[in-house]
Amino acid sequence: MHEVILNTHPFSFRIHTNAPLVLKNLERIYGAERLNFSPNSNDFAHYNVSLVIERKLGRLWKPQAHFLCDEIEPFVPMDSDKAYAMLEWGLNWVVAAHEVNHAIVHAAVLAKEDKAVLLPAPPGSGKSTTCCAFMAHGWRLLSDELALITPNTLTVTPFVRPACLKNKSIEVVKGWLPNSVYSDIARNTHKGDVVHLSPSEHSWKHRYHDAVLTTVVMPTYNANTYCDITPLTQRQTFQQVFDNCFNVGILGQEGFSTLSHAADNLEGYQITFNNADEVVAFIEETHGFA
Amino acid sequence: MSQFSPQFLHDIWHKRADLTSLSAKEWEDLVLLLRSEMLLARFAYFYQQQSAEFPRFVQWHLSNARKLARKQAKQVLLEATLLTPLCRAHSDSVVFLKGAAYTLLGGELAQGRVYSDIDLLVSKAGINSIEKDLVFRGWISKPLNDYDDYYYRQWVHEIPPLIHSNRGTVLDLHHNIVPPISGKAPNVDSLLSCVTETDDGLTVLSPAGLLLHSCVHLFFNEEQEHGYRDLVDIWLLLTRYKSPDFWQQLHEIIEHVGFKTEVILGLHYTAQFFEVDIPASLSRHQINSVRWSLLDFIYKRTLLPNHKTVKVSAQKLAIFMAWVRGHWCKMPIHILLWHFIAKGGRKLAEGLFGTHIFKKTVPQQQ
Repeated sequence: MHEVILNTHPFSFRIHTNAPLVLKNLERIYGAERLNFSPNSNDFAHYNVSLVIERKLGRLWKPQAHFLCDEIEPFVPMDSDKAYAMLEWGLNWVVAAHEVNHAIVHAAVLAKEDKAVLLPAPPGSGKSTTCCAFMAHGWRLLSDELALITPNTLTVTPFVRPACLKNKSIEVVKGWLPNSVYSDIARNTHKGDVVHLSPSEHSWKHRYHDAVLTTVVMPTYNANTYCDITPLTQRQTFQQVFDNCFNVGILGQEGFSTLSHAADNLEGYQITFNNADEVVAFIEETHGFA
Repeated sequence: MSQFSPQFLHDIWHKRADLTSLSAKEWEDLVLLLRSEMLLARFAYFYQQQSAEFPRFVQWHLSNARKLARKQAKQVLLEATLLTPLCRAHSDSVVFLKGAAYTLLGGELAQGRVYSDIDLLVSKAGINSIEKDLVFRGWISKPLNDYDDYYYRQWVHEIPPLIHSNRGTVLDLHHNIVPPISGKAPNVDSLLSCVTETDDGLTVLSPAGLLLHSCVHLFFNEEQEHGYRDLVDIWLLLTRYKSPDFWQQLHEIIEHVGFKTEVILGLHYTAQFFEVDIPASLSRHQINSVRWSLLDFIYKRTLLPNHKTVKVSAQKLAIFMAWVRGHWCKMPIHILLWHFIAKGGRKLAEGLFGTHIFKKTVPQQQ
């Protein structure tokens, strides 16, 4: 069993694993400087997880990957070739399940000049692909899945981790970002074929720098629509952020006021598109970057 | 993995433990231990004043724990306020037990007490109509296999747990405090005479009743998971309520309800771990010394956290013995054998094929 501390900001994880696939991909995606392979008594991690491959009699020919956090196993095991993808999803789960010092919105966040765009959307809407289009235009990624908003402010804290690309979007994104680093492919997961992409150097470099939200974009990919932009009312913006917030119920009043403050102060758009560049161009225009 | 001595753990609650010399890794492990024992939020409230000196990542965890506990306390008050009138329509008594009762009583006893379900005692005659009514208000049974459902309905003092479909709250509806099949189930009326009303007008067991129930839950049971947490509760109950009147009430309730051995055990370990005085009439010398040495062998081990950071000699053996004794207390032998055959078959299959064999999986997209 290997023990390694993954230092992502603002959380670190102590990972126990017996899967070489996991170690190899961690090193590839996060780079050696964010991994501590020989932690000592002065090193701590916020959360303890393990990704263990086991062979059971029922599935002798297919070893199974188990994800555990504090001896809790939140997911049904997966085939071992999906171990790395499972770990990444597991780390998202750990933060979403434990963290209540921030309002957490299930959304991607990107920033340019510390002005941040929030992309809340259900899986399959093209959120991660849009994310990569922004990165290809020089925006930095704060997170692909979890927007950490400081309560009652518009401040988002980066939680820089890989973006999760699925199925056809993998090839599309490889076209935009040919020099980026990609994980091994996990085939036939519940989300289809999945690859994790290491964020741009620029995103890593600014991983300690908070940004301030300006805009909410609800992306929906549709092969037949070039780019349709509809402004959202405050109420619609609020609904989007609220529906995608994991912990508004736990934060109670503080959560509600955080989200309504955001809805009052952010521009909201629903964008249906088949050309992600156009989405980025529009957002850059509204920010005066173009 | 760091190792913590039992004495270090007890000292934490007297604020005598030397926390300043813990290394970063030891702090990390202490947080893991406390969270696994459901004591992290208790600790967070206990050390609210001093925590500014703790490492930042520890403060972060404590702040998370406090927020979660505060939310749970609010939730319990809301649920109790909604459940009480609904259950009163079918049962004269609607009494909150255990964690929910501690929360509703407020004070230090309530601060940071977290739990996974709300325990509620109602009359046996009303329990089925209450369950039906709750279904219409969004409370549904957790998925259970047919054997477990039968086990609950046939032999146990509660119905299978209900979970609220929107709020996620889990409710355990009891009609007694121990399984009637054990032959030790008290006449519930004698329990219902020991209740207290909270400031919010909700009914909970009286402090002496809560103490007795906590001991029953610990020792008339096959496992002591979170037993250390329960002893902290008993200690806080005693700290707040102990008085000549309190002991008098405790004696009376034992006389009517029984479970003197369980209470003696609970008080003994609370006294031993947290240094409180216990009346001689409830000391361990009330129990025959041979019997005591067996009980003590088991429970002085199983009441300490079963966690990799706390080394307890022969703890696995003691846990097994407690499991045997708990079943022995709760079920007559013929029922017990049947239970083991039904449960054992499933355990064996899980051991061989993985714990997920009885779970339904979502079909994978191809």
